[in-house]
Amino acid sequence: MTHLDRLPLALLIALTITTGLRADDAPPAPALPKMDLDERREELSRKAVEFARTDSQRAQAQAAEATKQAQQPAAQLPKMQKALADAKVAQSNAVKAAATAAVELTAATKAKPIADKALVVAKQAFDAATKAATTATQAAAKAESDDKKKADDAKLAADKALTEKKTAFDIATTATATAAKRLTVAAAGKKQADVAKLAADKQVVTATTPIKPATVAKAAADKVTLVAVTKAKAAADKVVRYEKTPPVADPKSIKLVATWKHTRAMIACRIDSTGEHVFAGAQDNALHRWNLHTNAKTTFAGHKSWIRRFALHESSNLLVTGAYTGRVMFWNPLEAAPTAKRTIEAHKGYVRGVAISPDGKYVATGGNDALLRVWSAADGKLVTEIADHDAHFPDPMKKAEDVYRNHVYNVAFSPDGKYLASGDLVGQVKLWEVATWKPVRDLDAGLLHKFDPTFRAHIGGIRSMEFSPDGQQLVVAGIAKVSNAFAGIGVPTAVLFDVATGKQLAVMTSAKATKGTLWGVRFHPSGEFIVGAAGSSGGWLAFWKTGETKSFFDFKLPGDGYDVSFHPDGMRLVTALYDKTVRMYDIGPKPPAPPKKPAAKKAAAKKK
Amino acid sequence: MHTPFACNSVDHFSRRSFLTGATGGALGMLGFNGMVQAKAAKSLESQQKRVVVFWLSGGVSQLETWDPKPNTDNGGPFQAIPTSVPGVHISELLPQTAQQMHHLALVRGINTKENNHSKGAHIMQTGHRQTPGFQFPYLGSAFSSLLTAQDNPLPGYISIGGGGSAKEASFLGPANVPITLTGTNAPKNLNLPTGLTQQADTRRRNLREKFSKRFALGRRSADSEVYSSSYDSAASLMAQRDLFDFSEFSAEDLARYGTHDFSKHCLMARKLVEAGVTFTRVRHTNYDSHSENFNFHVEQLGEFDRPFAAFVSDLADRGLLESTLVIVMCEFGRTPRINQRLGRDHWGTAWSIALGGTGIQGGAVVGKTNANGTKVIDREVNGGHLFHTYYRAVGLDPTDPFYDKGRPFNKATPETSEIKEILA
Repeated sequence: MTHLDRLPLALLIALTITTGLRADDAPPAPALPKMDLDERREELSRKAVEFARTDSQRAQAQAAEATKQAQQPAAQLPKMQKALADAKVAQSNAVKAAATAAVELTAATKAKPIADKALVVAKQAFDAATKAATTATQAAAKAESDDKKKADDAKLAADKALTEKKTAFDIATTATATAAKRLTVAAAGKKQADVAKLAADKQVVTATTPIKPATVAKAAADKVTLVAVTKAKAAADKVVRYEKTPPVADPKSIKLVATWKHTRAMIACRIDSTGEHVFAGAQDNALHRWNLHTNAKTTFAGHKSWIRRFALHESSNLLVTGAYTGRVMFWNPLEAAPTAKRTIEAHKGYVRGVAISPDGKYVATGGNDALLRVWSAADGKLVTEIADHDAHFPDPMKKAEDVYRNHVYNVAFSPDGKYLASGDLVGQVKLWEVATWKPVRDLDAGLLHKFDPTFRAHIGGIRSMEFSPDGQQLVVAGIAKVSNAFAGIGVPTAVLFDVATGKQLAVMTSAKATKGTLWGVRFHPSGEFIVGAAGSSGGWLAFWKTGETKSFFDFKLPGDGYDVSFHPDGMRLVTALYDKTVRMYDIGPKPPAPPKKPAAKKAAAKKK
Repeated sequence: MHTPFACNSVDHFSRRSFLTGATGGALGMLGFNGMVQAKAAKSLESQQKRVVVFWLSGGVSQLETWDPKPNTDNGGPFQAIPTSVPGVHISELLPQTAQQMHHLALVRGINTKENNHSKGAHIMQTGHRQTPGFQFPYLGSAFSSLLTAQDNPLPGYISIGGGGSAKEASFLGPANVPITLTGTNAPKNLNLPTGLTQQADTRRRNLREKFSKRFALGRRSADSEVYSSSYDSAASLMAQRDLFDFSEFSAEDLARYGTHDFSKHCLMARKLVEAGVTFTRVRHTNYDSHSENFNFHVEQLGEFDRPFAAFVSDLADRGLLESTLVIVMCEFGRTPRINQRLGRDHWGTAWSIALGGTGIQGGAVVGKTNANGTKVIDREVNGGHLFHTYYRAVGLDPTDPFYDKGRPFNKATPETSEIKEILA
């Protein structure tokens, strides 16, 4: 089967007809040799494999780094836990010792007064005995003949009693001293034990404090590691799969792989051709850049209003932004702390469209003043100004002729740099020859515009526009069949044109996104299919095979989608959403389902 | 159908008797055709106050007009621009109007607590919430009734650009019902049908008048009065076809105002003010931007700004602003929160109107909303306050009630009072 057989029949027929040329046309630009679908697919597969390899290398490195980073918290925590355990043991011992000391103090305290009292008693007895002995001695000395023996015996007895009482007194005195010493020792011992207990308690607190943060840190590090390791494994698996079977994008396998959060609704997005960064505009005054791998966020500040369209020309390190103030700014897209290099007051009212020619020479802008302007990328000077869009503005209800103009909504250069396309509010798309700035032909997407007679206002516009990778087709998007402009009731619609003839090849609508606006539309780098980002009762991504009118797959987004952009490998895309996020989805071929484990099979069989 | 109107009021007798002639004689005898002369109109204008309301139907966004909040989460993409009043900024979408701000005052603290179109419109046009069983007169009919000079033969209330119904006059009677002009044309059938001469027409009127009087002798009622007066109104309108000749605005005027419908409506309004019509309402549609709020405000305010600014400027230049009250309003404002269709929804909680002219301090600003417009933080007012203010501005006492068959009805709610900060 030749490559021609793969193309939809309608497309094939359209390509063989050359009609619709204006009578006074210059001869058509020499046709670009058409890269056939197979070649493009092969090239994309190669790119996808390369990106998969570098992504995998990066993922392995990140996993290794994460693992390394997790080592310290991993080692630290058990040490801390042991220190805490030891401190607790010491505390327990200190508690016991303090209790023991308290008991001893109580006993010593009780014993002293008893000993003191005993001493008093012993002293009394001793004093009494001393007195009695003295008396007996005196009596013995005085006693004669018959009474003397009695008196001597009494004296002996008294002396003996005295000796006993003295001994008892001495013992009691010693006991008192002992009791006093015991009390002193016990008091000191308790004080010491209490101090020791306080110190042990403090030690427990000190040992406890770092444990929770260390636990949290370890859990976090482990989580990061788990994520990184899982990612690394998936990345490695992907390389194996892609190397085995050249990957082809499969939108139906779509899966969320990254979310970048911002503080305002996101209205535009674009991945650069190195797959390093996503650039995005928001409902604030800046352009934002996220690194797809490190998630680092950088802000391009300087504008004073929203940035809906911007353009990159990476080989010249040029980023050009256009804001709703009418101002255009030039930047270095990769700067760490970006500052505007050039400022141009490009239009009165919104700048709606910005594009850079493939050779990097020209910057084209379109705005609310109905003008298409082309600027020199090198010095910012105006190269040419085209006012043709205004001539087509229908004025059905006698509206303000000088104020409300036919806004130029989008501009795009063809991939070979030969054409510049500009699309406006009323659905006219004009092709200009870049070499001469002369008009080539008009493409009619008037169905993307309506003047609503109830609300007396114009609704429409070429909201998004892109040439196919081979430059043969142009797709535009917006809102059609509007029944209520002010409630936004219309159908998200895209129109596919053949560039050479200007003919409409398909009017494209989504099976699921049926009410609202198709805000962003892009060709897949293979040219095989087209994706649209819709705001329609929430958001959708709709996918069409190029040339067909109905979407073959629709994916519900978590919020209205305002823009979409493909990763250079064609296996991923990003969307800019109303819910303040930029989200990346993988549409690479699905990994095959893992084979069922025998154990699980047995268990399942058992259950039956 | 019973027709309530002020049968016993001075108003009723004086105008009606003027229209029909005190003797009940034919219109032709009063020389009606000669009444509408520029000189006659001029003598009236110096004695009588007039009111012009610009009704931005659907609810214009206060954030895109009078109370911008650029660089906030709710502010949207537009900037604020300085005006002819130092320190006062309005939206960049009104650059010409900004140059006229010294003639206009802003009320930025309105909280009508009403997000419904018809209920909000009722509050802003009557000063009251809807009351079952009773219809407060709309301000057009009220001012038509109260301000119109005794000898003013012109319609008291003209509505340009659509809208306006008989119910607005409530009990004030058919003389205060709005005459609605659509497009840029005069009312239909202003000219006599072909084949009917002025003489023949006069004879027919005389005959009808004779029969009417005879009928009324036995069976006069409010209904028959209305019926008769509608013929008289029609006759007076026809006599004023010069007033409604909008076919020839000067090239200079068209260059300054523009040539689209709203431009011409502003020129028509200027002509009616000059002629001495008491109340003119100019409707500009539509502003109910639940989707694409910013695109639609660029478009609609792009239409509105230049001719409105020219209108205010012209009235000032011609010395008419001193005796004319100009109000720019609508049923409510729009939500600070921007929805997923880039729209703003209904919002009666914190919004603004602009007004100027007689009795109003040009350049004054009263009321404040917070940093991102979600709440009034200073001098909160509602429809009642506004109506007290309008009445005071034109030299009337709002606490002096209407009477319908002897029953009093408030001109403005008694629990509110005028906004002194913007009264001259």
